[in-house]
Amino acid sequence: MTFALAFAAFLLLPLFGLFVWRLEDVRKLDLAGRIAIAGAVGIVAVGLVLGLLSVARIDWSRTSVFLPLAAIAVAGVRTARGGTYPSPLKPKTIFLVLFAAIGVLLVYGLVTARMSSGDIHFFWGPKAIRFYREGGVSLAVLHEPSHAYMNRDYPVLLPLLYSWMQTMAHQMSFEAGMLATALFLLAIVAIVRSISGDDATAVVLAAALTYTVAKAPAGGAGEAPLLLFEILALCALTFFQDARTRGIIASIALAGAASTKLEGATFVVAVAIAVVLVQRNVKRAIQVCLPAAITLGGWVAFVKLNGLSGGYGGATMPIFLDVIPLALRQMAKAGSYGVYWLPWLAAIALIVLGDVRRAALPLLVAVLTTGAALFFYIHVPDPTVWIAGSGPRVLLTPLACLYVAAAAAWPGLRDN
Amino acid sequence: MISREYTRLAVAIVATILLLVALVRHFHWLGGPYFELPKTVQDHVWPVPFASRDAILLSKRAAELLPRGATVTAFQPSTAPNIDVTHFLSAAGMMPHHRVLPPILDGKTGELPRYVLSVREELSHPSYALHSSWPEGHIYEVRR
Repeated sequence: MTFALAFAAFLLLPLFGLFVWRLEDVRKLDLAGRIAIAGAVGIVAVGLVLGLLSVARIDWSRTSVFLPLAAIAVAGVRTARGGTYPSPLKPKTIFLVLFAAIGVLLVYGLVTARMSSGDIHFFWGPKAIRFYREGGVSLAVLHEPSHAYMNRDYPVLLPLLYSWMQTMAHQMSFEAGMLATALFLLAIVAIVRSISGDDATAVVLAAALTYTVAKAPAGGAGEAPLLLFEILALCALTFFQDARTRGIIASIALAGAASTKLEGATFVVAVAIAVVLVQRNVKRAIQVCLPAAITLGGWVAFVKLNGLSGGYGGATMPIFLDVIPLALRQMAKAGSYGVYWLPWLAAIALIVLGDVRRAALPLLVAVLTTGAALFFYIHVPDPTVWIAGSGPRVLLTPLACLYVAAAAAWPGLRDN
Repeated sequence: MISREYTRLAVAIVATILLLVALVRHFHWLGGPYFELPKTVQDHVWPVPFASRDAILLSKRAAELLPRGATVTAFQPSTAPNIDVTHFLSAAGMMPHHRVLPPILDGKTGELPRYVLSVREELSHPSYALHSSWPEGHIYEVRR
């Protein structure tokens, strides 16, 4: 029963993001794509409600949490109702078979604990449990001795999401948290497929994400929701034609990314640079990154003012330039995922077989996020162990960006 | 353009099949049992179960056994002096009704936790006596 209620909390997420369904470019997508986008927006809505309740010092309870979320859901249903939406994209039989096989293996790997990240038990879960038991994000919890080992200054969106799960189920279900990874990964694939209509890229992306998340391993941790926000933002900026849709979806997704993991903040910076350089649009870069900057800035200010700073203090650490060759070698090793870089090579082949110029934005973001990872790693004299542990997870971002590039480069897109 | 499109499809299908084969191989490498629900989400992340699996199971037992509100810590003694803090963090998640403290037993830096969950191994500490033993480890209580 706990598991069912806890998992239902994740299944309900699209309800809280339905209000974006009538946006011009979202309306054109098939059902799977729209549900996936609403789900990502729903995560941000849940985080916002729980966060604002904490700011207002209102204890989380089913009543205090359900009421505002129910209002958001009702407003969303009203907005979405009555719209005319396209019918689902039907894949070729071969792709249908491959998607099914990937789905079965993904769920199998997560259910049998073959893709689990230890981090769900080491800090994401315990953090969420303490917040939930305390009735909100409180300084008392963040100052607890145990929190010193849980990255107390880390962005809190995922613990908030796991707290939402507990509000539904009255306790944490690590198994449901684990299985939610499948929903996040499937949502990523649905977004890329729905927006691009490119089954070839979508099917390899699905296989690559399932395989690399298993190898990392990253099930239940922050990587899957982070990737969901990153890919949604990148797809919005690459594919959406309507300025309003692009602005709203990209800014919500970037705020979500920056609130999920520290790497999300560097992703936002990479996107800002890429939009300026590729799309020659400074105003757009500022517009889409502003909500993320405000959200993250608010959190960093809270952390600094209350003496909780840890990771953000890394900016003052020395840089070891002579470590670059070693770090690059170790990153290459981590990024091979034990299959001779197949996930990367497949994406690059798909890009090369298309029109590379159309893929400039996601390609540049892939390069910049790889560079950002390298930049972090050269802050220690010997990053070998650090890269071996974190590299496979950190490199998921540039890898996923390459698949957005592959979808963008697809010549067939022009005819859609 | 048509041949390029077919090449693209072939690349996608071949790469997907290869990745699926690699995934099955990886799952097999992690070992069995293959069709049983695991006891914890840490059961099959490595061919030999990590100690964190036992930490989770021991914490689960302790959560039901020990009085609510009591101070507790968890660790694997052989990892000292660089104690693996992940075990007490796991306990913090599994024992929400207890006060889980960092694994510091030197008596100088604050109070000694009332209970110690000693993962997999016995604990040799003058201030603690054995409370109970389990397949995943032992529970100790501070001597009064």
